[in-house]
Amino acid sequence: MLKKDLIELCLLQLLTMEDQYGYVILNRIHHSFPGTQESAIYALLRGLCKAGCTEQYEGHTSDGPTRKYYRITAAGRARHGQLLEEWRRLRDGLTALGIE
Amino acid sequence: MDKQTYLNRFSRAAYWQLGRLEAAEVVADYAELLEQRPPERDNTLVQDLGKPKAAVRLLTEQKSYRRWLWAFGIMGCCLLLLEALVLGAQYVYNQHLLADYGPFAVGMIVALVRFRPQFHSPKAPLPRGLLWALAGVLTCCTAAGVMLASLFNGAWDWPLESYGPTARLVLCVSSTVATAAGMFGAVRARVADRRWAALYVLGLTTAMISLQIMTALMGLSATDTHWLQQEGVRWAVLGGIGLVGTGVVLC
Repeated sequence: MLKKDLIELCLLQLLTMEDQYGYVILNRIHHSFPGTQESAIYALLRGLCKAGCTEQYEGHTSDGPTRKYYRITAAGRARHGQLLEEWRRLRDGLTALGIE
Repeated sequence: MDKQTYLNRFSRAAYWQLGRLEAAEVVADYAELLEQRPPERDNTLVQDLGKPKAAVRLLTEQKSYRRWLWAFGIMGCCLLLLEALVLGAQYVYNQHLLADYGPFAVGMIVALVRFRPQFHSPKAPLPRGLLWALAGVLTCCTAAGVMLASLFNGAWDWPLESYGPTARLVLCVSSTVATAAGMFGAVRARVADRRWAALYVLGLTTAMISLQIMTALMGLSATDTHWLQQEGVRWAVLGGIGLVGTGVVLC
């Protein structure tokens, strides 16, 4: 599992909890992966959108302005499940080797 | 680098590398992201987002971008080759069909395929300035044609030895204007609206006709009496093909 897959998993995980707009998503992921530039995270988010795993829509924030929100699709949920399964296998493998 | 400078540089790179439709979406997303960044994070803009060109590179589908670069390279080479043949006509006497018809045909086909009409998409009004640019190139062509016709009909009382250099200058100027307009059209077709490729097609046609006239004038001998009727038909056919191509791209 590559770092790219881990970030994709995190992006999809965030969106399974609630719809978010771009700035919040990028900020939160950048906070967890400070070594990764926000442009790289945006490129992965856009890649997920092009692959049909997420979709955009116009929504309003609580303080008023219109933002482009992202929401997860059925294909995105399937991809999320697959990445989660991979992550669990990796984590179990590492634990078996004594890496925690 | 402030937000606006970043966005401008990002936008230029995006429109060139991604094409108009995708770039418009990506630039809108970046504008929104930058707008929401607090001003105190401005000094870490490049550190957080990467340089604008690098940020666009992350979004670029390399295969599709390489295809565009090939198409642009071929279109540019065809037009510049015709221009080089016109400018260098006094040094290289060109009578090889492939050397001039080849670039004309290839440039035209690549432009028509790359920027073909998209009948399924909604019709937008013609881009601002395109009609003026097309009219400008056509006016330049017409002016060159009128000047050459006046010259050879003896409308001006000029010494005979100045006919050749004047004709050459007129053809070089019209071809250079058309080449510059054609290259501009090819770039605008990528970054703004595909119909700008009509300017490329018209520029290519003008450069081709200038080359044909130059070649015909250089190949004249004292015994040639009906050369204008023979050559004129060929130039008219080339002009017709160019105008049809321009019309197709404008659809």
